[in-house]
Amino acid sequence: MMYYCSMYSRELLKGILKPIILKLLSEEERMYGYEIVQKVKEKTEGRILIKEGSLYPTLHALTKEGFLTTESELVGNRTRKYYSLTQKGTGLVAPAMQELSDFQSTLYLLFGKQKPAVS
Amino acid sequence: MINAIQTQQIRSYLLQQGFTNTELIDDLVDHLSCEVEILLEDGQIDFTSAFSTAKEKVMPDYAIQIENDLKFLTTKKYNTMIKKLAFIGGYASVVCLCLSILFFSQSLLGSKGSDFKMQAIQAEKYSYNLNNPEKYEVDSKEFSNKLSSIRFNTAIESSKKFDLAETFLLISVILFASLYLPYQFYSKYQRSEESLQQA
Repeated sequence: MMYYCSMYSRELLKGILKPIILKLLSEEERMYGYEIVQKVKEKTEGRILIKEGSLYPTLHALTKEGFLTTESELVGNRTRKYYSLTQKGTGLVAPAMQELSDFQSTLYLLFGKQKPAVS
Repeated sequence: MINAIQTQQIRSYLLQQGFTNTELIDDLVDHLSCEVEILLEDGQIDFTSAFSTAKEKVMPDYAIQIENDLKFLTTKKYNTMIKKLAFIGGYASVVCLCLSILFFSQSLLGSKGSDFKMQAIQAEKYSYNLNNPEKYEVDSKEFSNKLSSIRFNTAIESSKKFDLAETFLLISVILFASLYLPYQFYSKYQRSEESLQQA
């Protein structure tokens, strides 16, 4: 059971976590889990709150698939893992954004509302 | 910044919840620690209350589900491969079973066919004897040899087909027992484990 908590339903958000992570990591050099959650919250003005139950399995899956790499650092008494894009992951950003943009256009055809821009 | 004992307390909580993946534990310890530190900074609250609030926020329902989701996401391809292999094994087993039944029935039909053949030869012999009573002794041997040879050939053919049926049955059982059955057992066992954990 994966869960999100936001103003959007879990079903709606399920497929966009990977593009969100890829996009954020393409903008920042490296990020740790808590930072990603806060960044998404801040950028979406609290409309999308990624839950840890979804974030970490996705981050680990992307790492296993070779799209992300990790660096561990000791912060105080604990280990902090920073995630960053690999070359393979960087190559995935543009197609993922393109796919999302196409999807938005398709939704626009269906629902006829103003097409939101994906930057 | 929380101290070493408090960090250890968070780690112990995760271990107590059944987490085993050290990479994930590191992530969650850091995440929970960040949440706790923010709560401690924000208000007049002690570590225990802050930790309990952070736990509610980060893992509200079923903590170990995070690790289960992680396992699912990172082993999906492997599972799909096993599933495919199990189904191919299952189909191959069914095909072998069908071939085995086919050869077995052919071995039975072969002996029936030879019975008909022999009856026809005997009828032929009978009518020949009636028409040529003087050659009875000589031809009787010839007919007997013919019958024996048919019996022998049929027995060999039937035994060959029976052997094939046996081989295919054996292959079918081996495929079924080594690929399909373990997979079915494993997936049902996993499902029951999950439902037990969720209960």
